[in-house]
Amino acid sequence: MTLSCPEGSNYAAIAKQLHETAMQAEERISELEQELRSAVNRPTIVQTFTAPQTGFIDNLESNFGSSVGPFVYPFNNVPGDFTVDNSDDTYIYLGEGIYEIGVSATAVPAGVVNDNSIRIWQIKHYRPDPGSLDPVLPGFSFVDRTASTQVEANSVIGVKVAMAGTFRIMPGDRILFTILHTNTLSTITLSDIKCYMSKVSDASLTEVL
Amino acid sequence: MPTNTLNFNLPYPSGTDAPCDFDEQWCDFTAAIDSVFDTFQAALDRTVPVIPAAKLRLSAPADFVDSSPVIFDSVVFDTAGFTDLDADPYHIFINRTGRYTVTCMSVVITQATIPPGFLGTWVLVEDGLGGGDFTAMNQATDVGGGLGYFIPGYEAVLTITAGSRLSLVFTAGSIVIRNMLEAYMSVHWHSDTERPS
Amino acid sequence: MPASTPIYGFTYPCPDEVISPSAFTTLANQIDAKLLDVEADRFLALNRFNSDLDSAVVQTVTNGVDTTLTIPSSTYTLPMSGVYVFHVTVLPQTFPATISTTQATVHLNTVYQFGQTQNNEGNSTRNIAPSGPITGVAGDIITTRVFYVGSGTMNVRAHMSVKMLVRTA
Repeated sequence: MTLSCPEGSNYAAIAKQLHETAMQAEERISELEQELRSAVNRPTIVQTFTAPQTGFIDNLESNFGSSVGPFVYPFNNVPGDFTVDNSDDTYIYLGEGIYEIGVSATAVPAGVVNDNSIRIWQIKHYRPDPGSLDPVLPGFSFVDRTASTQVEANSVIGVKVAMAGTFRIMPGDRILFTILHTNTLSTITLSDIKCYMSKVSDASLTEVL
Repeated sequence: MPTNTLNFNLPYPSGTDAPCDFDEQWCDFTAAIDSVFDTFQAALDRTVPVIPAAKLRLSAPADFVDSSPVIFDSVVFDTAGFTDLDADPYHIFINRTGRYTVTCMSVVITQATIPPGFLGTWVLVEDGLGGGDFTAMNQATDVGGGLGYFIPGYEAVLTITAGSRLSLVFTAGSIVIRNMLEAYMSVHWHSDTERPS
Repeated sequence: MPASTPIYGFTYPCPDEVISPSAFTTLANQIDAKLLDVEADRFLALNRFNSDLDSAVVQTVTNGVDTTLTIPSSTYTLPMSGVYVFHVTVLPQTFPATISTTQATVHLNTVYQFGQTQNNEGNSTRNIAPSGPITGVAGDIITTRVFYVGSGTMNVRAHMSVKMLVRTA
């Protein structure tokens, strides 16, 4: 028996093979290229807030960020207008996973400064819990946080924070940014507010070494 | 005699090859391409949708010795077998060398007998060979008072080798027993190698 | 006339054509070249840009002067357009007689991005360690500035770690 193979006159078979190889290679290369590019394009949102947020009263943990004022996106590769904080929809859309979240801001007393008064900044992670009476977010229970305590030095420049942490977030969970201060002699004004979120990984799978 | 491409050495039929050899030669060509595809897929499998990551948390107050590892009581996530809380509630163990992001937080009440005082936290990385590194360091000034001191630490990236273990350390300047109200330590892979440019 | 694939334009002969060895050569080299492009993507997926810079070199900062650091571990040039996260630690090495607060800020081509302050009650220096995101293009320069309220001068050194989150170009 002899194997058939393209002969000098059987040009069509070779042409067909080259065509198939070209098309199949292109399809697979295109697939891999897109997936590899998405590996360096993880869902990420960066927001900067375009106006100071004012009137924060002493000894009352208060929200700041998306729940308070307008913002723009220096970067956002998540379709839609999702926000890092104050949104249930964001993490419904993006799904369960491990997220890196950070926030930065400047706090300056609007009036008189209490030297050595405290500023506690928090990135707080909440989960839906209908029976919860949490003072910051009723209907949600506290899960986790990254927080920073700073002390006002009464040196005109105020207090700046820039921190980040990682969270395991489920669909429907909410992230809030809060501040609690003890500057009893005046309210606090926040400016230069910036935040970011990046989905680092799924959380429920085991990685391939 | 097949010729080979420049970059991936893919063999393809040349002008001196007999048409009857086309089948085998072309199969060699497509197999070589498949092999390259496999390496691309292997890279994807290591990065999407899951990467090595782990986070330990202390949710209820616990005593610890200043400058010694802090104990944790829960695993927030572990995608890579980096933790075994039952066997060791103090450490995250790394089993894949790479460049990692490290974050941490310590929470204490005022520790200063006479304020102001010093508060510091960091993650200690021990490489299992006697070497170590401090990372995600942060400090704060303790001015006394009734509110908690939250001290977060962060390191965007550093090299951690397989066989290393991480622990959270806190100090207020003297080796005594202290009480940690809340804490966490987390690590996640960013890349295989340092690549500044 | 050869035809070509819709995305990358890999060429292949049509059935009515005379096939010469160049048909094999052309297609093989086209695929090979495209694989090289994707290899760059593979490498980046496993090795997004990142660096951690440390130096024992110190710089002197004068009280009341917002000083841009020029020491090696205080600056970074973006190698590729993207979103990066930076972490800077400023470490005081000498101790002014008086110091009440210290601030470290990070800038993109001189534009403020984020920063951190420390209270130095009791005239005690502290490390200052801000971290945050920066969106920029290749060639953008990231710098660190230090400012403190107090007396005299203070020597500082710096540590910077940076990682790329997302590629934008």
